[in-house]
Amino acid sequence: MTNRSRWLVAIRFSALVALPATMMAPEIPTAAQARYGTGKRIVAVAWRMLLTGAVLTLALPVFAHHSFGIFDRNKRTTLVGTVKELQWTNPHCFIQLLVAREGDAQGTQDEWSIEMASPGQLVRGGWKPRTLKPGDKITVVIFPMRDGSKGGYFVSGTGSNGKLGATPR
Amino acid sequence: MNNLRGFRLAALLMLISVSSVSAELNSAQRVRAFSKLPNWSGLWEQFETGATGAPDDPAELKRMVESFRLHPPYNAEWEAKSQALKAARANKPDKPFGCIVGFPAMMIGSPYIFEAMVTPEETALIFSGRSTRHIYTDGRAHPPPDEIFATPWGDSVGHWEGQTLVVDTVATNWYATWDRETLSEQARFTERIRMLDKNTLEDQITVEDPIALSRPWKLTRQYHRVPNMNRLYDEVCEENDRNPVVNGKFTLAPPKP
Repeated sequence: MTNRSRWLVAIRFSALVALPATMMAPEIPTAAQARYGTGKRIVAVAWRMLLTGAVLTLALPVFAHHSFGIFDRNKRTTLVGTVKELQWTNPHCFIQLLVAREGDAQGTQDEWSIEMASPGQLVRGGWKPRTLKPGDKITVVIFPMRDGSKGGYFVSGTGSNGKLGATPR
Repeated sequence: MNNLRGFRLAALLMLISVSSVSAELNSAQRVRAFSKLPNWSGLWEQFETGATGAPDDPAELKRMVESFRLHPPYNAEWEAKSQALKAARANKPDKPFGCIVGFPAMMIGSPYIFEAMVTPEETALIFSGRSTRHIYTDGRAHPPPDEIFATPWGDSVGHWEGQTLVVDTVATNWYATWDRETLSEQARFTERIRMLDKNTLEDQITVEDPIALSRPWKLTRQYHRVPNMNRLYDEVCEENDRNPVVNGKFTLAPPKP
């Protein structure tokens, strides 16, 4: 990674983080998504770098107050789970999602922390404080944590009524 | 006789009362001044962002990326200085920023929504980052040299040329672009802000800086009415910060109990 691109992804102005243009790339179903069913963690590693080429290293500020480097923006992970809580808070909202541990016969659930934009930005994106309620079954696509811990940044999601937070035109 | 005195006293008190009320109302002169101003009231945004904080639409995303990739037309000395600063910054540990934002980066490539308020004396642009830009239009000048000091938004004074607000800004100490480019303390900004149609504001910005730039830097930006919000929501840094710095790196903390 060049100094310039490393710096770009480390932009952290007040209330700003860096995001790659790749987060806007259209969703492409993967073999893993097709293979696994509900309740499984579906690892959908999409090497968007190859798909989006030069725009990968571009940084986009969104509301946040820290570097976006903790999230692996070259990968996308799809999670299917049950909402424990939607934290409607500044500077970021979070979905706490209970996800069945893959390959665990005991039915163990892991709690994932899915970081989002601020409440104001979510409203702009068509969300409401009660768009998600505890117990809701949802599917979300995230940029996973680089360190492999159970968390990531929200890219898109669907619930029983379709896309979560469609942007009104 | 007493009744007449009482009546006169009551009439006098009423007159005083009415006078004091009318003193708090807008004068006819101020109302006339208002009537000549454009109505910019409402919420404005530069980019149509979705729930991720970035635009959903690829074309909009491209516009946003281009705005953040700007590089001022530096002279050779400042170009070298800029590159050296970037290289030095690349190896520093993560460090949270405060909530301060300012000019001109916020007008050139703003991820924030702002509310516009136009009065005869001042036009205020209130950004969702809890920061307000004040543009004084009551004829005042910039503070004298021994009183002025640099601030993130600088000192803006303006006047109306028809429906166009012409703004002169000096004494900024914030970033020129989201690429953390800076300008010298002699940077001066001239803007012509006008409404193109009821849903579009345009800002023509000219940056002059004899110390840092090789030529005047001209930019034109547009802001669009936010279609689905009827109030401004503040962005706050402190409420639920789950991204502490640990060993020099940002992390994602579990939810607080």
